Amino acid sequence: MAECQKVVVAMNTIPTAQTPPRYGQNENSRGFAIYTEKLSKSYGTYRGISELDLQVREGEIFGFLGPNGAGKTTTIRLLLNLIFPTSGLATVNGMDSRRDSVEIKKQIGYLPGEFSLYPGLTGAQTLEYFSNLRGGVAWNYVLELAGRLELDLSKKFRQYSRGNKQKVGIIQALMHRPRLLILDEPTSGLDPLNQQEFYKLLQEVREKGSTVFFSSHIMSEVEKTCDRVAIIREGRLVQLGGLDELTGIKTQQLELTFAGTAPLAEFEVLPGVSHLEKFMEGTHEALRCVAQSEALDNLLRVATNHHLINIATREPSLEEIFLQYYSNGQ
Amino acid sequence: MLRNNFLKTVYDFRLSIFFWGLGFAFLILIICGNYNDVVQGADRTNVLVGYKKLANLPGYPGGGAPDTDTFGGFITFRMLGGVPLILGIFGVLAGSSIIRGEEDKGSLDLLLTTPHSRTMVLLQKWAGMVAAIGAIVLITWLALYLGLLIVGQQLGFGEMFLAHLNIWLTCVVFGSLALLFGQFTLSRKAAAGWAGGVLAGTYLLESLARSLKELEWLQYLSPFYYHNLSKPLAHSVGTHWGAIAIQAGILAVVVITSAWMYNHRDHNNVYALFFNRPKIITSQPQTRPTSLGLRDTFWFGFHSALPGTLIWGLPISLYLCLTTLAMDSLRGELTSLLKSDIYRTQGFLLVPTDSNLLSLPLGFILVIFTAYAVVQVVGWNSEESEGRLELILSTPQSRWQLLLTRYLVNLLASALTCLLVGVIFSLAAMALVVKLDGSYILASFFGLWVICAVVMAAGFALSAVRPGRSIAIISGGLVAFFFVDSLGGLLKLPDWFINLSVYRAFGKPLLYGIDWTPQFVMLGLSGVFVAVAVYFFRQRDIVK
Repeated sequence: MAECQKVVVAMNTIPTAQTPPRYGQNENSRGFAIYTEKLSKSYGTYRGISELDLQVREGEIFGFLGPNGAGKTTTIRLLLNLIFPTSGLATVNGMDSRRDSVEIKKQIGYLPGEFSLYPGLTGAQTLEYFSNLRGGVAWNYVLELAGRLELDLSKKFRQYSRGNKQKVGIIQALMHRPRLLILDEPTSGLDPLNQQEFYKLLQEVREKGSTVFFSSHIMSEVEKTCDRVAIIREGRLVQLGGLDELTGIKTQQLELTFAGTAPLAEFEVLPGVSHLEKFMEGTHEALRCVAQSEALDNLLRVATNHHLINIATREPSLEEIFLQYYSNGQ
Repeated sequence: MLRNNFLKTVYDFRLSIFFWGLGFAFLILIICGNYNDVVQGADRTNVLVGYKKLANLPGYPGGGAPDTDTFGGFITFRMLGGVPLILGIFGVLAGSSIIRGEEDKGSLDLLLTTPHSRTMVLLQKWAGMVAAIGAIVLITWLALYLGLLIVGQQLGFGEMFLAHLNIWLTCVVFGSLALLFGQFTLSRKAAAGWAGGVLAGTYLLESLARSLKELEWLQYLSPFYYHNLSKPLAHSVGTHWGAIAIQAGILAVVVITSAWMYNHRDHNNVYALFFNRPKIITSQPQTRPTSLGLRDTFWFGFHSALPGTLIWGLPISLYLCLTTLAMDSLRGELTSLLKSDIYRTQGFLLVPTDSNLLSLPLGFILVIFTAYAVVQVVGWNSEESEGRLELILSTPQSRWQLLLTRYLVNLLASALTCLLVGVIFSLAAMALVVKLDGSYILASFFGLWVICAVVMAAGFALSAVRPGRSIAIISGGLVAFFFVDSLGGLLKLPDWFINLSVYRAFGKPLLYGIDWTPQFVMLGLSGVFVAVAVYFFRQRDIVK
């Protein structure tokens, strides 16, 4: 009974998403679960991240994309106060990541990209230990999570497969119903069924008002789960916005089929049009190209000057946008 | 250099080869440089008598001091006799790392996907370890050769080869034992712990059995016994080919058994013996674990430290009890030993009282306790190096709180170890009617705890500043302190310098009671070190 009361008290003391910044040292951070301003971290001559401005709104699922070594984990470790910034500011739920680190950690759940736990403890013992370090959790919720992720809590940590170790990590991050979840490549090692269950859990967490910030390489999961996305490359933020906003920077792939000769030369001089290619579509000449959104108007005007018999367009996926960023070095 | 598993293993040990080799070379050159002053000096006769007595002390390495009036006998007694014990520690660490250590890290998974049989992987890695130990021994040999040139002495190539072969063989036996223990223990730490225990246990066994007729039969169980039968540089002893063959036979059995077990067990699992069979779990527990050890970082740390208290405390207690039991048999030898200048300058009395005589093995226990303190520091360090600290620090724990809690846990665990040994020793002393002052016994074990406190605090401070180097620095520092304390007089080092050694600061509490000044200084230093640790630990990045 006393245990239950302890848990209830602990759950009630977790601030809600509407709680204003307690310390208010940075008014700009108000309303953001994560806010960074010119956040930089360098390791001697090696640059970790550089002048990163990031805003993650309360209550959203935010995807943090980037190739290996781009600075995703460095950013996360800075937010957690595991490493210290060379310059700049980071706040989590309105609190300074350095000064208010302990207070912040009462409100977050964290899953590292790589982690190790105590090999001699069972899954249940490991989760109980972390539950106590966090001031108590509802054990029924732990069992529910373990059941949904199909994790046997009676095995020792060293006996778990990689995927099951990851599940222990996921449960310890979720079990205290944190206000902010920070997850570094969370689906790494999970099988497809458990990945789906994990996506459902994220949606439920968001519906209850929590914020989720996670890094990933997997475009489909970001596309499926995230409200907004940031793309980081070589320590610098190259794009931040909603998935809808990202269409603003999207290109269109077009295939234009003409009744007569395809006017290749006229398209070659158009700004914002690239990857031009002439091919035969049945008995007709056709052009294939990639056009930026702002070039579409001109492109269609030129095309309609000729006898155009078919237009096919296709929006690139987030994955193609991502690849475009890195292949073009933008 | 990375063409196969053998070369990769040697490559992995390159820094260890360099530092261990350099350390031994340095010591050999110092001791060689001292030869003419000591053995050829005016006080020659007294010195040689002192050596004989010293060699008979239980716990002193080497098993005797033959031919110390010759350079070969001198260097065997002063240096080479102790090398297998110290280099054996390297063997244990290396042997536990090559298979079980790589399984812990996960790197062996990929290695086993390459087209090599398990036997080949094990043998290549074992050969790499053997070569690494060989390289350190080779550096020692080269240093000895250089020492010969410096002091203008000569030794035969063959006898030098055999002396170093003997050292190499003993250390490879301990390294291979660690490899064997790794087949039925689930972590490198456990394998190293068991093998380290065998190293320390067989050393103590041989040392005690040498002095006590009743225990003589036990010495055959110790690799050190077979090692000490050969002293190729001391001509009156020479090389005992039978002993070398027995060591080689033990080695072959251990390596073949290791390879067989490795081929008959699951990867990342153990070869099941009667004590390590996995429990069969039939259902998932729905009940919440309620162990006190999971309550917070203090209780978790304390719960984890308790087995160490017993693993270290009981063998130390056993050694002290056996020494106390053998007091009457050893009294003559020990009394004679105390007449030498070496002990007079260290504060021993010339009287054959129990407290005076038992202060000798207590000095050896002191060294063991400092090793225990270093192991506590290793435990704290591994929280970070093995990636657990990252998750712990994602919970609402402040860094300073976590560090202080862990230090407090270690202080408490070391206090319990001291208490355990102290109580068992007191009971043994009472039962055997050994005349000791109860308050002096208390003072002795309090002094041991103070030494642990200062060593652990220094280790925590070093871990906060340079986590990757802290263990090497603290271990190296303690070895240096040990040699300053034991060889300082011999090397005519100034008193103020010798007094810096923590071993000297311990004093002779069993004989004179506690000297509070150094205790307060060390406790004060502990406080300063812990403050430094907190300051730097709060300021630096957590290593990933």
